[in-house]
Amino acid sequence: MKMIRINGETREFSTGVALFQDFLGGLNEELKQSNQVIASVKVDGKELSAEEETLLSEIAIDQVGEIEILTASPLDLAYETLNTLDQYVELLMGSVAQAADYYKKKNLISGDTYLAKAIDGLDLFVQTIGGVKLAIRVGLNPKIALIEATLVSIVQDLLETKRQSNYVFLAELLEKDLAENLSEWKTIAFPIFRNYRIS
Amino acid sequence: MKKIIFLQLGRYAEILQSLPAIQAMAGPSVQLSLIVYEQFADVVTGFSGVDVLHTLPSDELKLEAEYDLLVNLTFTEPSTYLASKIKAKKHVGLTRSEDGSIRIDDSWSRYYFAQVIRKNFNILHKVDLNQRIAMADERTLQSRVNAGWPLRKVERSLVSGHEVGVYVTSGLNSPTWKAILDKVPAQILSSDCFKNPATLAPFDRIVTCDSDMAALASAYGKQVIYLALSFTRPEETGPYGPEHHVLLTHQIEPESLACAVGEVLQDKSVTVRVPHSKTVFKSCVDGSLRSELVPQNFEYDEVKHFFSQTYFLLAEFRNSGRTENLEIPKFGKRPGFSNLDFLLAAHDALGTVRRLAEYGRHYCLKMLGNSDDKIALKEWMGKLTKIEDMLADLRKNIPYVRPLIDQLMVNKDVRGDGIVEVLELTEGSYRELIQDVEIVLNLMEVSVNASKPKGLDAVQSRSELGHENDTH
Repeated sequence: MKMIRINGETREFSTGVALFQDFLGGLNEELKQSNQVIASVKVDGKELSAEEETLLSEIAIDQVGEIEILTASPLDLAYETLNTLDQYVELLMGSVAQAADYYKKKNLISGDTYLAKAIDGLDLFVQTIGGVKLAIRVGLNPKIALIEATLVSIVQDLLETKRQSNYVFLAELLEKDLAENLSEWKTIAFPIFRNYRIS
Repeated sequence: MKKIIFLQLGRYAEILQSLPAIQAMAGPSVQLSLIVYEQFADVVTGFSGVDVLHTLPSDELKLEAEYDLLVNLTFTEPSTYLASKIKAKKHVGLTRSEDGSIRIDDSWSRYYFAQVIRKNFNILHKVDLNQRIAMADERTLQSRVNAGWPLRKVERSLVSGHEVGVYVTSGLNSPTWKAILDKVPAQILSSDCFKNPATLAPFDRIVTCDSDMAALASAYGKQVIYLALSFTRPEETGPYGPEHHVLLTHQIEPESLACAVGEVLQDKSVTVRVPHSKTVFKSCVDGSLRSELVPQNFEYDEVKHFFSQTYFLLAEFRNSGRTENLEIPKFGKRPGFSNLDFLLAAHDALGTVRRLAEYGRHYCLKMLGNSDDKIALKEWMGKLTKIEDMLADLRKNIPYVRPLIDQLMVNKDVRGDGIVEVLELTEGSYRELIQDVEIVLNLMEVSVNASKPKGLDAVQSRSELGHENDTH
């Protein structure tokens, strides 16, 4: 038997469940019934990163130290993610402004580097927003749909202007259109997400 | 309140050519200041847009502690000293760095420095160029559309005359003026009209060879018959706006010129051998207008015309990010009169420029990868110098590639924080040159294909234009 703390309560688990990953899989299945997911896993008081979790996955649960689990509802996680996204958008805007500045100065090497960072950042941003929308179950909201459509159009224009080596327009798209759109996510879209549960 | 200050230390013409840019930026939440020389300041009176006028020389310029934007539309060295002393969040046009060297941050001013100052191909009038420089920070599609010409607030009484005025200056010799005045019933204008434009009231048409008068008269809505002297560029500095006439005076007999002026004033076609052009407003893709000269009784050299149009397209693309629409220039319209050998020479030279730019970029990248190896850096720096020397040779011998090389030299004359940034900026300049050559070659291919008689196959590749191997 192995003693494991879940949300502060100690529970006994049979060590028949040999591997750490099997234990987490089984727990996830159980939590599904109560519409919960695993939010964090601590071993010997230290929260595991995704890599550390993978490293432990093939180890027998008996050999893993003291395990502590925190669970949350997907909805809570979504709202927590929104707070993180607020700061993430700020960082993204920094990369976007840097890229525009470099393109205007004709420093194309640094411009390309920051543009690549911004595009990667946007990719992650869009994926995360998709997850948040799914969790909060936002249907068709005209304001959010408009901001989304604008972002898609800006990204298409960015790729086209990059293909044409049109650095003036590229810089303008980054520092004006994209910056404005990202700020709209913060000022218009995120408040709609946050108030969705209340309304 | 946004505070903007313009610096224009030119003469009457330059001040008048700057006013549309100033007026286009005016607004209720903007305070616009202008610095000019006192002796030319009168010309600003009567026009809207300028809230505070400062004149030089002055013991004490009462300037604001800081401006949001300083636009220096004077491309002279002395103006850079004053520009660098005025505190502004953003500088447009020529200024000086902290180390005292001349600095240009915006792309249209770099274009002006590389093309207009060096008398390369440029079909943009200075009024249009000034607006592009001043509004570099504005939205591409919204810029310039508000500019008006003739200038706003022109008094009604000043545009109702019916007389012809002739402004006699020393640009043309006395026999020429005498021949014109014998042919044309006209009154002679005095230079007082710069101080008191009301004296222009009785006239609706002005004959002049002076760019100051051409600018003043066209700004007040008069039709100008501009007698362009051999060293001037009427497309840049002649009368602005539609329906003006330009007669080229180089190696023209006084009688012929007088006859041409007479025909123009009678609204007839010019039949004597005097090159005659008219100004027209052409629409840009953003809805704004630009003034252009259109030949009436002669045709431009086809190759020169092709490159003028091509470099205009390239300038709009590189500096405004816009793709303008133009009629495709064609070759061989007049068999026996086409300088196609020059086209082939230019094509070969473009290939060489591209290859040299590729080498330039290659060495920049090598240096960036080994920025700590001082011996290697010195060797590669030597290679870059050789590339520049070869480009300078090409510039001297093939005029059609001169704008590209001059633009490179202005673009790469940059200062950065450390060698890495300087190398990155130089790499960017070479990379842009490679792309610019590609654009020019593509446009050349389009023009050659459009010039082929129907039924002939289009040019399959650029090699058909010249040699298979376009390197030297």
